[in-house]
Amino acid sequence: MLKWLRPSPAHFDQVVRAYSAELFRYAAWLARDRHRAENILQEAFTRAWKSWSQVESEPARRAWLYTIVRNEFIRDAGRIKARMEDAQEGEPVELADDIPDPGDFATAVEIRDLLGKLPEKYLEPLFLQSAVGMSCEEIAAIMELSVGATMTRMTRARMALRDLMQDDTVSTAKPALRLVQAGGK
Amino acid sequence: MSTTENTSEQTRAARHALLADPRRVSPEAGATISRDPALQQLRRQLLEADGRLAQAFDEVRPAPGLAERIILRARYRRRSLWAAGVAASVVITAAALFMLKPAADSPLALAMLDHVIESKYELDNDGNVAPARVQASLATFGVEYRDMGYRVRHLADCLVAGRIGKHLVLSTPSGIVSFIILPDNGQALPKAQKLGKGQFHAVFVPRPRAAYGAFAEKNVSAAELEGLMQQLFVQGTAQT
Repeated sequence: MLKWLRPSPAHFDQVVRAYSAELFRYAAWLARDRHRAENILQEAFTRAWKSWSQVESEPARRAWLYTIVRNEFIRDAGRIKARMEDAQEGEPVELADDIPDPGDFATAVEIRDLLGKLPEKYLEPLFLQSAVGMSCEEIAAIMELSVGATMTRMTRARMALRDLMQDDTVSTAKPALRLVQAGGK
Repeated sequence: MSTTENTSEQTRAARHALLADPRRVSPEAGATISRDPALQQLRRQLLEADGRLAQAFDEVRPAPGLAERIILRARYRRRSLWAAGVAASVVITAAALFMLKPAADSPLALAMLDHVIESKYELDNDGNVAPARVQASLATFGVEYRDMGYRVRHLADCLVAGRIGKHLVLSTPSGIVSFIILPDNGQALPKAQKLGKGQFHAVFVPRPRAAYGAFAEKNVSAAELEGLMQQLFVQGTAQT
């Protein structure tokens, strides 16, 4: 059984091996550029190593690493780190009774292209929940939102994706945006 | 508020909860969903869509040796570039050689299913295994386990068709599901297939370095089993 040791080089190595792939994906979807994503991740882990002893529990460390990657992405983009609370989050959301059958979208590439059209504010929480398995509470902490706003944003994200799927179904136009290519392909 | 209005409000709240997170709903929303076939259908659609999304998100993968490059840069920044280059190239070469190995044999899927049936009493156990332990255990096979918030009831080594693999049992929104992951032993793997025996059925998926099986009672669909495998385990592309 793995024992999460006190901060040590071996522990750092273990954590890097456990989480680097999923954190890379997060950075790549944020930056939409795999080379930039690797630079972000390298810098984020270098920063993390300098403050390694600040975090004790492993669930907290995982969320902490996501926060560092996010901050590094924002810094890298030359953005001012601002609260990303959307003024419109409080508005009522029109809820659909169903969603399009994802089986209509035959390949992951088609879905990936649709995801590439999603605004960043929707793509990020969708990634954190669908791909990483985070709860709304965990996403709220990373994105510096309230839990309620996060739940609303998740709902909006799924509805936005649904709209894109419907648009894509009726449109014959090719997707305008191609996302970063899969690794090694 | 009338009973009809109250029910309508509960349905709306449950739908909102499902769209916010189909895997984690409150007991109140869960009770509303259990009474409403339309909400149950929505939940199934959302879970399947999430599986597809996870697969699409996974299309972006790091180049081999990322973890080693990070470690070298973060911990050994002062080392010479030459040393770092040599270390990284050794890792990349080792990874490439590992991936080039061919894979395994044919009654394997059935042997995996038989193992699950023979050890079905493990379904009753609930060890509440920490996700970090699962991640560390599967990492020895080169498999990345993604913690989706599902309770891990059981994790153990298992002996199937002469190979020592990993047997996991999870509580998922679809029900209790067993997974067996067997490492490559150098023989050709059978193609992806669905199979059943008694009350159990299974989805078998070969991947470059391991064979994956998902097993459940027949109330869980094959599509759900496939979706769960895509969500939970990250490795090379399927060899179908």
